[in-house]
Amino acid sequence: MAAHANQDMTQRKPKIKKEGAKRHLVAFAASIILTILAFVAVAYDVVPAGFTVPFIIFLAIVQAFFQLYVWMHLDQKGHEFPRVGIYAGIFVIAFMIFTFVYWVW
Amino acid sequence: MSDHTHAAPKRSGLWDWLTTVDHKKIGILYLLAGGIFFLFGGVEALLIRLQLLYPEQQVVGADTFNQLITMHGTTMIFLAVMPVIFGFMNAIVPLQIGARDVAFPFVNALGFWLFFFGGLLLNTSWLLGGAPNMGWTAYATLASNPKFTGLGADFYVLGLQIAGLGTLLGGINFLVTIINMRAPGMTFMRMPLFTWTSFVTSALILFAFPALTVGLVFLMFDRLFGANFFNPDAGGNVLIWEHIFWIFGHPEVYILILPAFGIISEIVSTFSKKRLFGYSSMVFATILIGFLGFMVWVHHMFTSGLGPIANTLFGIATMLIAVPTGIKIFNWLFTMWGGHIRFTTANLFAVGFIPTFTIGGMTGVMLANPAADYQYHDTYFVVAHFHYVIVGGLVFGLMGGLYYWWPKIFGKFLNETIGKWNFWTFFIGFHLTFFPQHFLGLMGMPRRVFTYLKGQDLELGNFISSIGVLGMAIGTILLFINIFVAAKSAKRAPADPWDGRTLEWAIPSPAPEYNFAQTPLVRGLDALWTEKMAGNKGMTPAEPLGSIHMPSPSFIPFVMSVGLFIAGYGFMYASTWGTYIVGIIGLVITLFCMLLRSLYDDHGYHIEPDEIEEKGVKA
Repeated sequence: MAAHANQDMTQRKPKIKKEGAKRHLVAFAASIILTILAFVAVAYDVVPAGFTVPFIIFLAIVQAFFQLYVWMHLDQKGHEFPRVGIYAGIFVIAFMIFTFVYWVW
Repeated sequence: MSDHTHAAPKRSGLWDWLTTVDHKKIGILYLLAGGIFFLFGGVEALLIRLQLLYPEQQVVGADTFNQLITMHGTTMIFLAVMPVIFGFMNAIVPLQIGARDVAFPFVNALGFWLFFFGGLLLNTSWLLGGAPNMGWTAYATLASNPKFTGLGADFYVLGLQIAGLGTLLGGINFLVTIINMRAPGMTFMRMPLFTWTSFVTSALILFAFPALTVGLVFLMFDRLFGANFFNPDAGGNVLIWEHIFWIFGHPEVYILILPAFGIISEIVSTFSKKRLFGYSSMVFATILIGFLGFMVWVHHMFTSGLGPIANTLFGIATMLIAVPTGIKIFNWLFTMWGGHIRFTTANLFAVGFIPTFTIGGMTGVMLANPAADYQYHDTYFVVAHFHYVIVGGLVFGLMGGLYYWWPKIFGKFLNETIGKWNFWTFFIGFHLTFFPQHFLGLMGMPRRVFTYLKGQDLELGNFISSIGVLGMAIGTILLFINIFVAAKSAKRAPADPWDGRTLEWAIPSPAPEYNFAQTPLVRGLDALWTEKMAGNKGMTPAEPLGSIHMPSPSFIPFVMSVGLFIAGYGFMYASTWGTYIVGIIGLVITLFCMLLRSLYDDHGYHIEPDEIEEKGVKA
């Protein structure tokens, strides 16, 4: 039974790509750079006024995708449902923000 | 695996129920608690109709009437039908997909106890200075005003916050269970429709309940800690609450109705002895309804001045939902068409559901037209509409589900004769109660008023409505008598009493604690029926008989929920810094339980094949 159960468990685990640490290091460095950019944008007037907030929100979105895809393995096989869930959630929230900004306020 | 205990922990009586993590027992707990809250909500409804029996009556008075309508709505939605839905999901979904348990048995128990203590907290408000009185939607104009609500709104906020956490946990649990724990061969397009609707409902819970949580947190901060989210004098906005509430609240009505659609699909198909007509279009329609459910919340706010573009777009989106719903109605009709129909009580409820729900859907499309909605808004027409979809749709579906699955859940039959009386009294009483309310609304009777004047032609409609409610009360009493009769009867239900089609009928009634001695191999839609048609006696096993891993019972979920229950009272009654101690003690209890759960590894136990064979399963 024990062997059988173990076999069962390995079968159900999502397949994980063995790639080493390179991707993670690149993503980590990119995240740090993006964070520094955000700080610079706010602290010094390098970005035109009024564009600062959209700019750092954009950086935040990029970082969120790094987090999801690199660190939380959303790009790997066996993550179809998390992907569907996250996209559906993004769609619903985007729809609501759009509605609030352009239709009902 | 060596650290597993090999014997089942022996627990019995109350201690067994307080510590259980078995999805079938949790399902029964949900049904029981939901049934009790259903009685509370029903008594409140009786008092409402008693007050409105004749014009200008003073049976309960205006403020008590406000409390009654608020608690009737809140109790019925959050504490009666939601838990009964979760009861069915717990009791049936794992059986339908061939699983031995849900994905997170501990979280499942926690979800139940959180809901139960949240509901209890809310209902103790009756004894502690008055129930919430601002309507079940708790619009912030009233709800954030302490002079109007007293402590009532605090009970509403904290009770629903705790109960809502439980619901959210339950939804996540069923998403994971249905995605990960299906038996071999049980592909998505072979899942029974009740499992499909439970799946979509769980997804809706996952997306909708956080909105309620956020809204309640805002309201809680306004009320308890002096924030100004809904205070226009300080730059807040009361309309925000309406948006947040309905961003949750509209998906919530689909959270409620979709499982009923699933139950009706199972019943109609079984008792027509036919495969469900248009299975894949049913699945498509379910998903589409779930999706569109998020796109329509503004139709609750047509008259709040959002402008013609928003109103038109949301009106059209709302009318769109009639399309997938219509697909479902026709599919049920075509399933029955040419079928070998048996009118058992369960099927009576299903057949009664179809025209009743269609009427409710039709008035829904009428309400979706913004220009016309200015006339219907806040009248009894709206009350009639949502009772036609929630009682005529959901409650009929749940009662049908009770009669259909009772043998599987409890191993005994509900009496069919009493059942038919139950159906007819409830059905006729329901239509008597709510059909006249359409006309009362069109004649201009506003909802949520505690009385009306003589000589405005409102007397007859209200009188018929109040008489009709007796029929529903008799029907409900008959249901409870029937449950009592069933408990006393000696007749045992066989594994497959209805000549069923889906996997839950392949195992003994009631299901053993491990559900399936051997995980079944699913070879088609309507898994059991496929085997029957192939001439097999039961399911083909997908694995040899082996020892079965079971989760250990735990008392932690109960204590964890008690902690939040105490914290709720603590924060409600706290006024100065010193008095926050009770609330903090409650939170510490909960956090300590979380720590305990994280540090203490319990690997569960095994049921060995010889024990399974003792219970009469052949290897």
